[in-house]
Amino acid sequence: MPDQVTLTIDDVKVTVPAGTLVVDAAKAAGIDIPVFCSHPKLDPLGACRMCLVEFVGSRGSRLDTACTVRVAEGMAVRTNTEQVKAVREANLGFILINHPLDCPICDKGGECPLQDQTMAYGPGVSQFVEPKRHKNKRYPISDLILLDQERCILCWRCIRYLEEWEDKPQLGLFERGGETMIDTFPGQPVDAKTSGSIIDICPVGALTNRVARFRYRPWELKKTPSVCNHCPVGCNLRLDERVHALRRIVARENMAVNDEWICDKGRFVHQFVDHPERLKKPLVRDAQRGTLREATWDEALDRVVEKLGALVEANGPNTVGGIASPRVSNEAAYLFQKFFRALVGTNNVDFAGGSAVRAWPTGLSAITDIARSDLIVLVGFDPSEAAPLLAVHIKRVVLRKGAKLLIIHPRRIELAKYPGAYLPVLPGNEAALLGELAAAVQASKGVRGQEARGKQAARNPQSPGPGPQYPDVVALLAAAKSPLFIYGPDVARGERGRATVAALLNLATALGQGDKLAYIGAGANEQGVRDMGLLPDTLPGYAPVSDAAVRERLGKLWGLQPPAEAGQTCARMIGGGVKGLFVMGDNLAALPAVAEALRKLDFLVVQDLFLTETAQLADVVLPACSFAEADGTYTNLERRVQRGPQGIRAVGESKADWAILTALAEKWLAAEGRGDRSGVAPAAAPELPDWKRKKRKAKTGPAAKPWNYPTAQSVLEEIGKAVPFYATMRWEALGEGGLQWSARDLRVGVRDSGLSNTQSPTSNPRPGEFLLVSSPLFWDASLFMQYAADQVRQLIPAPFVALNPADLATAKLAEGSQMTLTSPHGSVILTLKADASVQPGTVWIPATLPGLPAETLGGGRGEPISVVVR
Amino acid sequence: MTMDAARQTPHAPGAGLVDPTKQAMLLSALYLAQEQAGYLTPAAIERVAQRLGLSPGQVYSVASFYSLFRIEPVGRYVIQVCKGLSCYLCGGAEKVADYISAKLGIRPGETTPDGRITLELVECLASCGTAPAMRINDQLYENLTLDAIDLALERLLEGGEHG
Repeated sequence: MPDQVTLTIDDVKVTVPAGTLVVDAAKAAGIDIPVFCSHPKLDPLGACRMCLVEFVGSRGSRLDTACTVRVAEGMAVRTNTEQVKAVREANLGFILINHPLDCPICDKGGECPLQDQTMAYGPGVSQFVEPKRHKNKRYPISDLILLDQERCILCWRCIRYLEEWEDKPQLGLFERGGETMIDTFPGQPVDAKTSGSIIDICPVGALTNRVARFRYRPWELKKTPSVCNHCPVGCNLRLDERVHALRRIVARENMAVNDEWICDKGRFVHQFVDHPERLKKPLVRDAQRGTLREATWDEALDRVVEKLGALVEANGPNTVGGIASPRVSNEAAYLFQKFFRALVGTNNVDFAGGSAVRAWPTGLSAITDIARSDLIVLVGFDPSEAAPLLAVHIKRVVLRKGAKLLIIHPRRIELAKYPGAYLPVLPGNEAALLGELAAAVQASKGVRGQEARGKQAARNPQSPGPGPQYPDVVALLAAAKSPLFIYGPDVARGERGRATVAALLNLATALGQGDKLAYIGAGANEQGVRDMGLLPDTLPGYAPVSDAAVRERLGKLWGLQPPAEAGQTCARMIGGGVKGLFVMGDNLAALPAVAEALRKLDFLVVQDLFLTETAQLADVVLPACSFAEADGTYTNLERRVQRGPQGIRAVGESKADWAILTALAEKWLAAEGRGDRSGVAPAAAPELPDWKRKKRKAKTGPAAKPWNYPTAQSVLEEIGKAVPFYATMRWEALGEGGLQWSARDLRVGVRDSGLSNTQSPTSNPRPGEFLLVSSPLFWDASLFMQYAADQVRQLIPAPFVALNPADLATAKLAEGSQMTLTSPHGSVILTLKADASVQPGTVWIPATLPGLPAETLGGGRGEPISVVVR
Repeated sequence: MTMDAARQTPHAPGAGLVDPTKQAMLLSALYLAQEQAGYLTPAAIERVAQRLGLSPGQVYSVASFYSLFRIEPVGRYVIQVCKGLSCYLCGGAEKVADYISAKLGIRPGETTPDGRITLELVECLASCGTAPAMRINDQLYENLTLDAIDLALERLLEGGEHG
């Protein structure tokens, strides 16, 4: 069979790969064949008959569906004959028999394939005088999607998407004939995490977005290509704005990242952008009343310069520090660390889940590598909850190419139902388990070697070595030609995490696949903020702070060199290591214990979208823009730097993170350089504080260079100078698909890898005690969820704890009862749930539930937590 | 337009999707399930789905497609009057159904108060050559006339032979 096939479509000769569908071949030839059911990303079906074209053969011509017929050598197709025209008219007539003509109030009106094709190919007049079928026009198939059964033309796209991509056949065609309609099984709404994709691919207005419906007319929207800010996959999406409000978010195709799908968080959770409670003005704490009051930007920034400066002067630069969120843009992260390193003179910068996590600095080799893998090993990482688009890609390679999954997780996660193996592991025992697996792989290599030499003593029953312990898993690993090893932050925290990552690297190396190890973080721009050096011991570009050459290079760029000694970690800064703290975009104080610690600070600055628990404790609150209101670049988990341009006017007086930091730095430099502060917010600082006068006198040697950043793009330009592998990352060059930096450009790797496991394994919990598992849940109570639209907010579950049904029975506990859970770190009251995916001996309290119960009990610290349930 | 490999790549054999041999058992399984309660309860549908590795939605979709499967409780005897095109042209389902309705005092979709007889209109019974047609439980009545209907209903009301 030849690889390429040449056929003729309307006298145009076109050569396409064998197996191409005629409809796609026509597209390649620039000929439009109208379709409804056919979709480039879905299997052919032939349901709507819209694509009927003439196939000319030796015995005359026949009509057939271009969307199901594959090309053949010498095939002749005609799409422009009278017969085809008549058939299209008739077909549209049939489709429109029951389709309501409510286009003026339909969300799809203006971007509707049925509307467009009726205009292009329709008969122009209706033959029907009979009444149309009446059905439910607002039928909820989930909390987020409404089905208009009258508008549906039964193309099956939604059914097929859920079957083929999500492997969740939750929608079906029920009844038959004129009664046929799309429906769900009673009581089982659509719950696929990327369910909103079916709204995008619906060729009519049958499926509508409950958050966005009736909020726009498609032709009025200003459409800005952007990237998602919820998880590190960095899905490409589009921001649709009108009169300064973000009306909706839809998916944007990027074959290297998200195909053309986005998850329901990316699509539906955006009301935080223009939420009425957004901070619109800076706030400062009133000296007399002790409460926060509105202020001008000048007053607020002057207060920060004055107070932080005073702390630095009095106690040294290491008594102040900054904690940022891994969601902020590269520009914000870069300037944040530069502010502390080059102006304040400290390496005290970090982010929650930053230095505490043993991250593989190059993320995932490429998202498209998932489709090329025959075995995906997931260690302590649940893509379905943490990064649903990865789960979609993984399911695809499992279903289409027969890839296997090896899942090592304390909970039987959703993907564990697929072929491969699931190894339950007690939290904290990952390293031990991986160590045993590596030894077993080594042993099996040895066994095979011995067998080859004809020796029979391969298995010695006297020595219960790890060899025979996991024969199936070892066989699975040994058979894999292109495996991928993915781990998440839950197994990479603290000392145990260090051991786990080392053990995982050993295992991958034992299989000769050491370069296939990937870390997938939690924050949307976690890769980017690490690249930018938002870590206490790492400079931009991953050089350790002790690297004198890099410090010198940065010194030339910044005017001042960063200090050589590592700064304080996030935990240390919170735990009393600093007196002044700058928090950018993270609500640390949502956890009461942290709030208590932050109250002890002399000075706290918070830069955020909302008056969060943390902002309420602050002395100065700076209103920042969301990702949708400011230019910025974000680096996803495969090191793809992507543009997130401004798509909507900034809310109130809020400013982009990078712009706030630039304004602050200018004031800082002015205060340092000028002995006299007259003219600068005299009300806030009537007298020149002592520290500035001294500083000025003391100033000798090099001075910090001025911060000259009129735009985010100019910050990116400097990043290109500071971070060698960002040198080519110019705003224009990134385009709409982003650019990946090559993992080969980074030779650092994880330092001291290959460490032997020094952690003692977690022992089985005692009766009445359980080990805490706090892996993420998709619909959690994170900040953006709290400020989401009502339809989304109701998806946040009430706080719960899940136990294995067997444990519930043994302990004679009833589902639904309120239980008190106590750990060495705290105590919470939660509703009990039975969940077979939870391993016996453990309790699952997802991370970031309302009130942060898992975190209160000490979850997410990288150590096994024993919990008593009463 | 990027061409996705999806259209080129069929499902990998045995890669975790539905098992075709199990799927082929669906209709038989539904018949067995229907015998339990006279109709397919939601629980029965879920059970069949679970046993055959399908989703309840997929099973429901098949069960609701065929008029021989019921997803709601029905009387002991079910009269199905064909409303297909041939029957419509040969005298009309409306006429047949109206006649039965008047005689039994129930409308299509309803069951007699004693729970014995359900009347329903169904899509084509595949008996177009002998239209108009109706079915009472498993027995097909062809070339219907009003007399033939009377006769069938009388037998039914007398005690029935339709099992």
